[in-house]
Amino acid sequence: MAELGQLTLMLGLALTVYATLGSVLGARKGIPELVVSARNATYLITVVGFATAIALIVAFVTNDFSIEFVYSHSSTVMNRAFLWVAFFSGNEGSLLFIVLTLSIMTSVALFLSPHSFADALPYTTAILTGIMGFFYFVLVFFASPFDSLDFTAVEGLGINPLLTHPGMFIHPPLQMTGLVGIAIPFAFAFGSLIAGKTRDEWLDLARVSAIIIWAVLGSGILVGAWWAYTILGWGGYWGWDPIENVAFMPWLALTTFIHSVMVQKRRGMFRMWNVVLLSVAFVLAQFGMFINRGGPVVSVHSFGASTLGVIFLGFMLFSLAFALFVFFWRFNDLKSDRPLESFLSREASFLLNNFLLLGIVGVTLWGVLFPLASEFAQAETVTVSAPYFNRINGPMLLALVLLMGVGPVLPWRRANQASLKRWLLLPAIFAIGAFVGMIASGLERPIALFAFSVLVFVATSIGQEWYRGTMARRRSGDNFVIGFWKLVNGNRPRHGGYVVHLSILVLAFGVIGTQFYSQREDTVLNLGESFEIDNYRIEFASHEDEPRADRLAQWANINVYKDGDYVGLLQPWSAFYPGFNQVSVRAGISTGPIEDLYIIPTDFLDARGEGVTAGGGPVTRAIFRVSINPLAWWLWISGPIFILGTVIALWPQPAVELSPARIRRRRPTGSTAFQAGD
Amino acid sequence: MTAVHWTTRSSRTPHVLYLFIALVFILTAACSSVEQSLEQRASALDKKFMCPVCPGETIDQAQVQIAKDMRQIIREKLAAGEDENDVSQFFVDRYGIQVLASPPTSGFNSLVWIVPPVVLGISLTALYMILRDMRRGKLARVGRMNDTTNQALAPYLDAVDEEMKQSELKRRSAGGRASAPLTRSDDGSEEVNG
Repeated sequence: MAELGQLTLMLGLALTVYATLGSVLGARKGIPELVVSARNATYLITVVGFATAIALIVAFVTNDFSIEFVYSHSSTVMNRAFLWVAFFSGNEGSLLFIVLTLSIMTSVALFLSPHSFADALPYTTAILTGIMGFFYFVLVFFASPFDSLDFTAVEGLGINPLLTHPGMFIHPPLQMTGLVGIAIPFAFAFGSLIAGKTRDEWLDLARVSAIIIWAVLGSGILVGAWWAYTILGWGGYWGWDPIENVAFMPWLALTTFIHSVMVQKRRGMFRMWNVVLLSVAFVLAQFGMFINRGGPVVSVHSFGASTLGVIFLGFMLFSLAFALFVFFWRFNDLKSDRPLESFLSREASFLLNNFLLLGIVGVTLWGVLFPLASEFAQAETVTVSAPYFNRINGPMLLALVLLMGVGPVLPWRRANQASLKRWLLLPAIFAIGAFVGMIASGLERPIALFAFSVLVFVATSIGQEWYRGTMARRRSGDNFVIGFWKLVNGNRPRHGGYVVHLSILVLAFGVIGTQFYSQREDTVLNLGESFEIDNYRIEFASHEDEPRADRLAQWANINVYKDGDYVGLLQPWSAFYPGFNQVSVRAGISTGPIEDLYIIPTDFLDARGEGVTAGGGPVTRAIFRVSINPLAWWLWISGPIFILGTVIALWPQPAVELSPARIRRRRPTGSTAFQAGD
Repeated sequence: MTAVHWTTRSSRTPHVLYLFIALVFILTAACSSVEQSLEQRASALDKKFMCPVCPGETIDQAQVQIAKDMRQIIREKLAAGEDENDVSQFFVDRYGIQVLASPPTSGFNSLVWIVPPVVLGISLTALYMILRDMRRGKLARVGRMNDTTNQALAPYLDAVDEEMKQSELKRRSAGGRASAPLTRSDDGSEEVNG
């Protein structure tokens, strides 16, 4: 299997070189056969990539410990379902996954791209196969998952215990697909620029692919947060860790792009700017890979860590140089069609949105890089962690949320006082009312209350728009549900966008609740004893353990009562993995819309007060860390809403509706437009 | 020419928006320090120190022994009447400055705090000024109508103007919506073919 795998890797490398050179030469010299052949080679790369992946999977399934990667990431005694996780749990396997997912996306993108894009497509292909070529180069020469082990082993080391969690089946794939997938919209735009198609030819292709990738990456980050919440054991779903930051920054840059690109689509403005944004997102994704794979930054989860930092740094710099070169080459062709007319307009609000988003990117990047700057400038190691990011990014994120309530109701070109009043008065009243109400009802933390009011403002703004639109439909004879359906259906990108905005509100609701109102206590309980926190009572009913070959697991059975009523059984769990000399903890969580009761076992103790590992003697006492995390439930609910919004926004419009006149007439945002349109 | 409208734009309104945003910044930045219990102060401090042996985790999160000990020390010191700075100094003396979750606000390290707001402020101002000049410059050029491009475009622009006038008339004659001038439709559409 190892030989076959190695062979397919080399074949993949050869094919990427051929496809890249063939595409460029074919397009420049005008040899259509070569272009077609290069494109077919690209499809073939996907097939070869699958073959490589299958070779590795077979090696895992058959416990082929003569392969180093299989030896160091799996074992016969581990839960076999996690072999899929083992596949990408190390540097080599994850690189293979990345190149495979990129080749699949490339093939789909090539296959679906319209005929009108044919002139630019070879360059797009060349960019993508060039990137694949880089990964194949690394795989073949530096990080082959098929390298053989120096000695004979009958048992593997097993999988990192932190990764044996259901979230790990999807978090790393989504994350890697999202990060490398930024190459797709980037390649559409830059392929088009190289081909001299510098107007809006690439716009829809880049926009749609960027939104898909953005949704994938966003979901990946959210699943990762859920994993951290349940497994790391400290109730922290987001820690501004460098690895989290480097995934968050490209996502923010993509967010910037998919907003800003709307201005180009509608108004022919910001063309240059959009190209810059795509480049920023792309280079930030490379930066993320660099940090992930042996970058010079300390992180809590460096699973893919390797010594390949320099190579990835080089690739990032090359990407940057490439983007800059093409950008300045086509600089003069990227002018806007129109100037900005007013600072109080949809365009300007998009600009402010861009400014805030990129500001957050910049602040985050500065925080990630500052330890290096400090090391360099004053030879002193410093840490830049959550307090910095919360203090500086917090207000900017809140301002961004606020803008979600203002920007979408501003008209294009320029607004006037009357329309501002018409659209912003009610949200402002609701927000102020909510703030006063919350203060009056005795809630603490004024900053949090202010933030909640901002959410009310935005929610009212969206609700008002939907309400008015639906009422206008009702006047033309539809009932409320059908009216709303027609409203959303009439302009899916816009209303899908609103649904995504709602999901961000829901997420922010959870963030504010958990950040400002969490409470936590450590408690020592003997078997049978109870502990009260807030209006909960928890009872340490019994202790169980299960020593297995790869782990010594133990857990407490805890009865939870709220206001005297039995709520359920929680089983906070902890396991010692001898092979890794590592303890892994799973929280027991009783969740609900109002708050989570969150229990983690800190220590299990015997009668003398000594710590006990599973099977090591009778446990009579345990130390628990009990938290109440208000509104945490909303963090995870935002995910499905986010996906729903993205799907609505991307759902293809029937072809008839694509004629500009009809789109204009059907654009159903204000009630006057409705009456006029229908 | 539609350019006429551009000069009548109210220049006062944007400030409301900036004021709003400034308010958000001020309110959030002005973290109030209300009277807190000992445990509240202690758990706030937990989040400010890194665990010396586990990369990327604060002692608030980490489950290793040293983190537990540090949490205990914090509570003891606060109970003994020491304040936050004393606790900080104690840990910095022992584990070096990297034990702090965010750098202190003095010396070179203060840059981490100063640079973001300064850069953001400057770039926001620059963005505003660039756009303002761009707008004026473009308007002036469009208004002059003497360069060749605009000359060539003139017949078309005239046709557009004519068409717009026509449809405006049609709107007025349709009644009811006559009060909505070209530039003010609530959905933000500048189109008049609705």
